[in-house]
Amino acid sequence: MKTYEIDVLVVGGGPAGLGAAIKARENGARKVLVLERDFEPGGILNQCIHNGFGLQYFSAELTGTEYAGRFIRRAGQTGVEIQTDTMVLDVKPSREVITSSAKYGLQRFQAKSIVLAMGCRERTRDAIQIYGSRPSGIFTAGTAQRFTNIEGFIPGRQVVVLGSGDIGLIMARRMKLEGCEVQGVYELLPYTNGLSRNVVQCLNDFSIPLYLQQTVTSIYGGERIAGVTTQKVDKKQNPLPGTEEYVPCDTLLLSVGLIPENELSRKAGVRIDSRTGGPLVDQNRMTTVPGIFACGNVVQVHDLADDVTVESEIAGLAAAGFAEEEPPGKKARVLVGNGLRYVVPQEIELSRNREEPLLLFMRAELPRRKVNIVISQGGMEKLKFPQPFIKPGEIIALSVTSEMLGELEIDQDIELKVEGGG
Amino acid sequence: MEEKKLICVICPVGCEVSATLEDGELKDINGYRCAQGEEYAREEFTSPSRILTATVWIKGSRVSQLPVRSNRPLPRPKLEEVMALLAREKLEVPIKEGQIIIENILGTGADIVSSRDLEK
Repeated sequence: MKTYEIDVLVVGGGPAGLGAAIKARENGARKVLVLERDFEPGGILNQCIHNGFGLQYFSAELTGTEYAGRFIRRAGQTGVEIQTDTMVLDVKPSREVITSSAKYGLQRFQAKSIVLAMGCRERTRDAIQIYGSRPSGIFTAGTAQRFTNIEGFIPGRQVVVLGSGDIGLIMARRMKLEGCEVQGVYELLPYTNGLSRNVVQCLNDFSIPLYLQQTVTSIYGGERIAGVTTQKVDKKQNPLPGTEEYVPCDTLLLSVGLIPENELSRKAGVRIDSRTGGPLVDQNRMTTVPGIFACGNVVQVHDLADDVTVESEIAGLAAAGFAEEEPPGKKARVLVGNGLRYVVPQEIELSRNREEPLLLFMRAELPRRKVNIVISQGGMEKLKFPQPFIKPGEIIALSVTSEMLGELEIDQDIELKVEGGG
Repeated sequence: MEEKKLICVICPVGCEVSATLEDGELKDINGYRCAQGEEYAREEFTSPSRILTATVWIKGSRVSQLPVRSNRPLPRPKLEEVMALLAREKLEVPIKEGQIIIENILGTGADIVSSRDLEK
């Protein structure tokens, strides 16, 4: 088997992979190759026909397909190579990559640096363990989205949506616009994890009810799903006896969370952060294996494609410079304190001078008003970022300028936490 | 007199804005906390409009659906009627992003355009 030499090899041709590849190519990497398992680049954006993309990155309101189109065209213009219909089988710590495809058979690539951009996948019925029979008609919201928006099949006529994440909300509207009856969106938590805009424009606009603190506890049906039992839950999310309701439906859509897709990352030997479910990365999005970078939803599940692009450019730039760059110095760990679920990056090299502000992304544990996000070192409060409102459904991005970084000790771990508020 | 309420979607704070309308005209509005929020709420109370995104049938490619959008917001009450028109469309590749599929749909001044390139 011949070995192909690549400067920057990108696994995955969605927004993260394309963004990283373009940035790497624009910053001196000569041979940049994106490997994509679908028959075209674009990733999940190809089925995101709705608008709301690009407001931050392009200052224009684009659909997912238009957002992807801009990157696919730019990849072509900058000389990024994209090989589609290709499945990556293995990524080794030595940066050797093995692939399989109908057209090229087995291939081996040796890369100077690798960017992991495999994205994430949806949690299924099994992940949330709904009791009952196993009929057809139960889909993850994203699968139903692909059927409807790309392949031209409406998954059913009478729909229950479980989970109020953005995909669930958007699919509730999509099904309604295609003429389905949407019985309601059920959410286990006391608040929705979707953007407020989607609650208004996807549910309220079409009088689709949102049932908070309610979940699906049982599924009925023979060959096809016939209905579900819904139940209210208490504060600990346990179903309350006596609140059961039978809701007839022929389709159940699940929008119950996303899991970063890291099988290849594990093969590559990179450490995974149990909080994010993605590779542990530093400020350049380099994983714990030198020369292997990661960006996009494989690192943390982002709310917006625009944020994925920002992260992919950090990774692409660093991947292009990896061969020439000095080996990284000592890194400080970023510790997750009170009120936060996770912080990305998980490690920062504080000694290196930087012109660009350092971006820290994090998710809150609970919705709260008027809080401070505090950065401390050794128990000493160093920096404070006031936030008018935080909620788990919307990523918090802090921009730490080089001046602010000057306040920090270069050899000490930093801790982030939420303080004050109600 | 008619009382209406909405949640502002301009930022994550999510202010609850309430208004009094008389014959569709805004008389009183309060609850917003910024100028953008006021502008959003005023329009939302009097003439809500939305970008519509959907798909239409297309032949000659590995996918059977072409994503389309309105190139400007449509009056909200018209969305279902526009969907019915789109269901009748049958297109063929190649199509370019931005290509007009239906001009001035239902006399709204908005065009339905393709939202991706699609070739064989």
